[in-house]
Formats: sequence, C-alpha cells, structure tokens
Amino acid sequence: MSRRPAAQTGPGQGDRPTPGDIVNTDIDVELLADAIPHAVWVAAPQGTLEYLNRRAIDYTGQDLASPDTPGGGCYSLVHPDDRDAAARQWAKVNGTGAPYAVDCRIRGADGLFRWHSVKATAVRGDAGRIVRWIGTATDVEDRNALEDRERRSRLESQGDRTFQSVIVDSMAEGLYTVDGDGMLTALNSAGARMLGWEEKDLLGRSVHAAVHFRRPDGTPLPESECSLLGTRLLGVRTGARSTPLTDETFIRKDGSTFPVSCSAAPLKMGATGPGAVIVFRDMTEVRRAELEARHDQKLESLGRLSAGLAHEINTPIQFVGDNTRFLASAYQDMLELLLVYRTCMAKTLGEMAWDERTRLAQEAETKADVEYLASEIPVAASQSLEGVERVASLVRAMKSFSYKDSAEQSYADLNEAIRTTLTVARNEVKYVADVTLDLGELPEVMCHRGDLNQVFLNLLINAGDALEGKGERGEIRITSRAEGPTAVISFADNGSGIPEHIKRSIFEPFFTTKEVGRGTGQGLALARAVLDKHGGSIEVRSVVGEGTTFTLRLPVAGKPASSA
Amino acid sequence: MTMPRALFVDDEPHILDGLRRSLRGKREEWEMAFATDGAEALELLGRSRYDVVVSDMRMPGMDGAELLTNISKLHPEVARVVLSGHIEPEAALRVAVAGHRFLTKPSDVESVIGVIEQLLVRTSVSHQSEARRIAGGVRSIPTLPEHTDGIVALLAPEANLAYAVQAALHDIGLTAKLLQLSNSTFFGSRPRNSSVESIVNAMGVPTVQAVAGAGHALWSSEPWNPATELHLRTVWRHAVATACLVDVVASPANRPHSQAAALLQDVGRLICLVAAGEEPEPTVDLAAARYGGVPFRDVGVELLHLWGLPPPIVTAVAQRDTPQRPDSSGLGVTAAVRTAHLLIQQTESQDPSDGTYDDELALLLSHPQLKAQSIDWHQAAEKASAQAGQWNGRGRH
Repeated sequence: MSRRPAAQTGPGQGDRPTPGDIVNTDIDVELLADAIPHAVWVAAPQGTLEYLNRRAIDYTGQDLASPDTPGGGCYSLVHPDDRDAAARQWAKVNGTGAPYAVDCRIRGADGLFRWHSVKATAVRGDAGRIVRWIGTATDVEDRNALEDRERRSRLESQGDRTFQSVIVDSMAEGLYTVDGDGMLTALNSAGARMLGWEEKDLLGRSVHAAVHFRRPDGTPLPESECSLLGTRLLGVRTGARSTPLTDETFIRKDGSTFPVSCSAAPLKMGATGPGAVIVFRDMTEVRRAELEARHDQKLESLGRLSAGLAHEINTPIQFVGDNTRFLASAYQDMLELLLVYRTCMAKTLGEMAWDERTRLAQEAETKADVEYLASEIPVAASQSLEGVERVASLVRAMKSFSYKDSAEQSYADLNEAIRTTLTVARNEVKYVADVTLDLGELPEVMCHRGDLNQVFLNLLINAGDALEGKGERGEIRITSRAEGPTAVISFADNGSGIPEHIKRSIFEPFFTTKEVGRGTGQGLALARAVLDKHGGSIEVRSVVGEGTTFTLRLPVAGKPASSA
Repeated sequence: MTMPRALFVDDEPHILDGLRRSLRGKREEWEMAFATDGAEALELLGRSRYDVVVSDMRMPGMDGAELLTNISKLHPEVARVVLSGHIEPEAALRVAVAGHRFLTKPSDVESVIGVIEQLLVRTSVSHQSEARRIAGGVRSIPTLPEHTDGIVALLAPEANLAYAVQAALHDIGLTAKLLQLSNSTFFGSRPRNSSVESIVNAMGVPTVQAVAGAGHALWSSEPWNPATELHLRTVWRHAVATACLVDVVASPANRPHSQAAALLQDVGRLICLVAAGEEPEPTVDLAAARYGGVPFRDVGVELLHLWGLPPPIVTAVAQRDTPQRPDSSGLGVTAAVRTAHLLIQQTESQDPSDGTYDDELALLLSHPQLKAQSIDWHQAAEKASAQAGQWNGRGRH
C-alpha cells in the first residue's frame, strides 16, 4: 500500500498549517486521522484526491487518492443525481474560498449509496491562492432517516391534531379525555360550554371530583362507585372497546346539575399513557320532551278516565242520597208510630179499654207500613254503606293509580297495581267485556310504579277498544307469573286482533287506528319506553279474529346495572 | 181516574232500589215499575200504558239512547227522561235527540219528582193524548227548506261563533233544541237569561255544530211535496220577520224569550206537516190548521212543554192567536209576540177569512211602552220582512 500521509506534504507547501502543523505534536497524524470515525480527505483545487483516511478507504472499498486506482476522481462514487450539485458547489467555493458543504449520496463498498454530509476548508498558499482542500464526509444516512421520520411524523401528527381538534371542537357532544388516574387531559369546547369549566381550569384535575361527585339526590358519589371510572379501568384491563350509553348526572361549575347520556371508551395511547375518552350529551331537553309526551299521554287517558270515574262515583252517590232520604222519612214514620205507642201507654188515658189501645196502635202501624219499614231500613242502610265503600275504594284506587314516581325505583306489588288499574278503569271495559284476573304469586318488583300503572291502563283500554265492535261480550284476561328473576304479565283479549301490516307500527309514537278523540297513538309507544326503562320487554302476539295478547317481562330486581 | 204510571230503567239495581224507596211518598199518586235493562223496559211498555219513562244512558246491551229512540217510535205518547251519571259530550249528544228531559246523577228526588209531575201535565185542553202522541214522537225538528243552506253553512268547519249565533237564531229546530238542552243541568250550567245567543256562546261552535248535525242527520234529503214546501217557506219567513220585529217591540228584558217565541210560533204546524208527510193518507187540514183533528197549535205547545222550554215562551206560543189586553204596567212576552205577529201579518197578502185585528192592533200599539217610542210600526214591519229575506240571501252564500 503506498499512501502519502498528509503530514508528508511538508510546511513549505503553504502558509497555512497542514493537519500535522496544526497538531504540531509528535503524534502520528496518520494514526490520528485513521482513528476519526468519519471519512477525512485532502484534495487539490482541481479535484484530485490527495489523501483519504482509513475510514474513507474502508467505506468505499478503494483508495481513490492512489494514482493506481483506475477511473479516479472525487465524483466517481457520488450518486449521479447529486454529482452536479456537488461539482457546482466545488467550483463556486474554489472561486471564493468559502467553506465547502454539500449533502450527497456516496457509494459504499457494498454498492449501496448512503447520504453523507461533506464539508471542506480551503488551505491557502502564498498570495492567498488556494492550494488544497481538507475535508470530511460524515455518514448521515441514519440521521437523515430519523429526521425524515420525525419530520414526517411531526407533520402527520400536526395534521391529525388539527383535523381531530376541528372535529372534536365542532361536535355538539361534550368530550373529554382522562389519564389512568382520572385526571383531565383534554376537554372540547362543547363540553366546556355544558360544564361551565374552561379546559385549562380542569387540566390535570380529577374530572370525577369536578363534575361527577354528587348523585342526583344530593348524596356524595365516591370515586370507587363511579361507573365511568369503573368502566374505564375495567376497559383498560379487559381491552373492552367502549361502554354502552349510561345515564349520569353531571355538575356544572356553578353547582347546578344536568342529566347526561354518556359513554366511555378506553384510550390505549396518549400523551400521558393509557386513559379514557368520555363522550356525553346534555339530555335536559330530551328529558323535558319525554316528560311532556308522558304528561300528554297521562292527560289523554285521564280525560278518558274522568268521564268513566264520574259515572262510577255519581252512581253510588245517587242511591246513597236516595236511601238516606228514605231513611230520614222512615225515621219520621217510626217516630210517629212510637208517639202513638207512647200515647197508648200514657196514664192520662185512664180506663181506656185494651181493645181501644190495640186498635190505635194497629192503625198507626198500618199507616207507617211497619212491615215494609222493618224489611227495607236494614237493606237501605247496608246498600248505602256499600255505596260509600264503593266511592271510598275508588278514591283510594285513584290515589294509588296516580301515584307520583320519584326518580328512584321502589319495590311494588304489581298484582295490587293491576287491581288498582282495573278499579279506576272498570267503566271503560265493563260494558264490553268481563275481566278475568289470573294473578299468580309475584315477588315485589323494583320499578317505577306510576309508570307501570299507566302501562297497565293503556293495555286495558286497548283491550276494551278491541272488543268494542265485537257484537257480543268479550273477555279480557290478565295474568301474572314469576318466571325465575322475571315477572311476566300479560293482557289478553278475544277481540278483533291486529292485522299483520299494522302490527309492525303499533309501538311507534302517534300511530293509532282509533278515531280522532279516542287516542293519540302514544299509549303503546309509551309502554315500550317504560318497559325499556325498566330493562324489560313488551311483546305482542295477535291472530286476526281470535284476539291479541300483550306480554310484559320485567326483571324483579329492577333494571340491571349498565356495566353488567 | 187511573193513576199515572212511571217506569224507571237502570242497570244498577241499587239505583232502582234507592229510587223506589225515596219515591215511596208518591206511592198513593203514581204507579211505579222498575226494569234493569232496555229489553225488559220495552216488554213492560208493551204490556201496559205508561206516562213517563226515566232511563239511565249507559247500559249493557241496549243503551239508553237506543231504548229511548225505540220508545219514541213505538210509544210516542210516553214522555222520556234521561237520568245519567255520564258526562261525555258525544254520548250526551246521542240522547239529546232521544230524550225530552235530561237529569244528571246525582239528582235529588225532588228534581226527579218535579220533572215527572211536569210531564204528567198535558197542555192541550181538548186533545190531551193526541197532542201528546204527535208531539212526543218528535226527536228533532227539521230545518225549513228556506234555511237548509244556513244549516249547511253552520256545519262547515270554518263556521265562526257569530255565524253560529245567527244560524241558530234563524232556525226553528235548532233554537228549540238549544233551549231544550240548556234548560237541563245535563250540559253544564244554565246560561243566565236563556237567550239563544248566550246559549250558543256558552256551548261553543263545535257543540252547536254537533247538536245541529245530530238533528239534521235524522232527516232525509228527500224533497218536500211542492205545495207543502211553498207553505213552509211562508211559515219560516213569517216567523223570522216576527222575530226581527219583536226585537224592537219587546222590552229589553223580554227580548230573548220574545224572539224565541216568535221564531217558534208555528212549530206545531211544522211538526204536524212533517208527521203527515210520513203518512200514506195525510189528514191535514191546512185551512183549519188541524192534523187528525188536533189543532197545530196544541201540538206545538205540547212539544215545547215536553221539551221543557221556559214557560214565557210556551205561553206566548200558546196565546199567539188569542187577543191580548196587556195592562199598562208592562207589555209582556205574549203581547209583544202577538203585536209583532199582527204587524207582520199586515205586510203579507192575507187570507181575508183570517179576519182583521185592526182594532186590537191599534190598542196594542197604543200601549204606553210602545207609544213611548216614536216608531212607525208599519214601516218597521216592512223592514223586518225585508230583513227575513236578506238573511236567507246570506245563508245561501
């Protein structure tokens, strides 16, 4: 190997020191150059390579500085696409003497091009003439790739972020993300508006402690019982995708509350590790509309009931009044009779004959019609009491029927609820049908009793209406059974049945086959909504000409928790 | 003399027991029978004579409306009373054309006795049962041909309250029916002065339409016999013109009753012609104003009595053809109607056989109440006649 160490160029060759001069020690410059993990080269201004260090020779696999190497020249290993730029730059700096710097791909011994950052400094001789260039070539392939990737990913993530934040911020739903500890990592503008909190106020704070710490009834909701947190943690552990919609109550910054429907989904990656994203919707208006619809339906059935109830109450009042008038006049008759007896007993009558006294008494008895009074008064009294009891039980049933549900469910005897409903609605069906109750053993069911009363009433009235045009008296059969953890209640009529093409629509709101004024078509839609709310179901089985059966299924223990 | 007989029908036995006991005080005056359903009631009616039937409305099988309709056809001489605890308007309207009087449950026994005793009275002196039979069968009074368009316009959805008042004020049947209904507690509280206008205002357009429609539905659209139709046109025009004029003649307090009486003055003629129209060989004598020998007026008065119209109206109709000599303190409804009737009669081509009442009219017009107003009464009558024609034009749209 014949290499000319740069040190051998000697001090006389220029004003500026050679590498050897610069170091100016006894250190072997060639060794030093070889120890540098970059390519080091020396070239004449016209481009002829005069020296290459070990690294350079090892990389290219040839010593281009050697006059023995065929096809020499500094550009022979530069990627053809980069050659022009490198040559232009070389020509330029040879005119000005400015530092040379160019990025280009250089072919290695394996035939593959790798990016190199090539830099060189001019060495001037007498009169400032450039006599040679000392340069380096640093392999930047790995760095470039890294930067590329970083740049690309930076751009991409910026784009994603922009895109995502536009979507997230223009959503009508509120959205926030939390880290694994439930601390807020982001809150969109809809969510901020609904909650009254700015994102920056809550960042890094526990969302639960800020917006979810109380139950609707005002009692504290500990984090350990929070379904959103619970499902999030569960989600991360089990890899579940997202929770179904659950109804929650959130608290605004000012302390007021509002109902939300929300779902949580685990977030496996994020700036701060795994967490969850929670999307929620303000249900205030929806709940109000639901309430109004239910109120409308209640008013509708009440309007219909009130006419019947008036009849059911007016009838006993009529005969109780008549009987009481009779009892008053009967008392008068009896009193007059008594006075006659008293007269007969009076001493002042003196020696009046027994016959005479008996005659007087008998006359009075005939006038008073004692036999009739004796037989009628007890009956009149008992019928009056019966009438009073009828009104009283009806009023009790009305009170029980119009039971106002609180937001919470409670245990109720559904058989009793069915009897109550039948009492208040008897007048609606008694002219068209006989109602048979086949009520089995039922445990008390966790439910909204007032809502279920309404459902029973709607089904009973529907059954009565189905029998209206029948021509003969129909039958309505109400049964209840417990099937394991489920209460099963059915309302069956032997009326006209529901044609197949209508059956599909009967649960839709405002669908009705009744004439105007008889129904607004909310009854069955409401029934389905109520059953859904209870985690139950309502099904219909109907055969045209034979009758219809509605079957309700209710979980005895109430609606199962949404996380189950 | 046989005792009057009353029949009570209710599906609730306790109601019948209560009535039986509380009406026991009447056992010396009436014979009473009780039935728990419509079929039994019809059977009892078929077996013996009854004067009054008191029925519940809602009953299984044959309901009250159906029962009373059957009775109106089979036994028109039986007065029909509804005693019901039902308050639905639709059901109420169904019996509005079937019953004569309406009572609500709970009603005290005095009200029940009062209504029955009124209905036991026959107004006709010489033709008690015949007048009762003809008037009793009437469930609604047909609209006169002259006013059919007015009723059709009233039944249109766009009819407003002002129009409903005018239509009712010009329709004999509707006026009579509204007064009948408003005079019972059945349709809510009674309007204070029983004027047709206040009744319509209190009921509202939909109810008035329903009442008019229920009455209208009973009549076929079959044309009248041409001679009868011409006659009825004259009757209607005379009634409407008298009603217009009496508005000026009567004192303000008497106006509502006077107007109604003027409009209803020939209701007997109308229902007799209707009844005769349904017979193969009508026995109507237009000249003598008799149907089957019964004076039209007796039938009309019996109808108004059965329907429970206010007594001043019934009296004014009864005495329309009776010369009046009101004392100077007040003209009264009857004299006001008679005065307006005679004035309108003068504007029409009279049948000379009716005789003239110039002397009586002069006397009536010299009554202080009328003299005080500087009105040319004959001119006012001409104007009222013209008005009657104008309403007709408006009714036709």
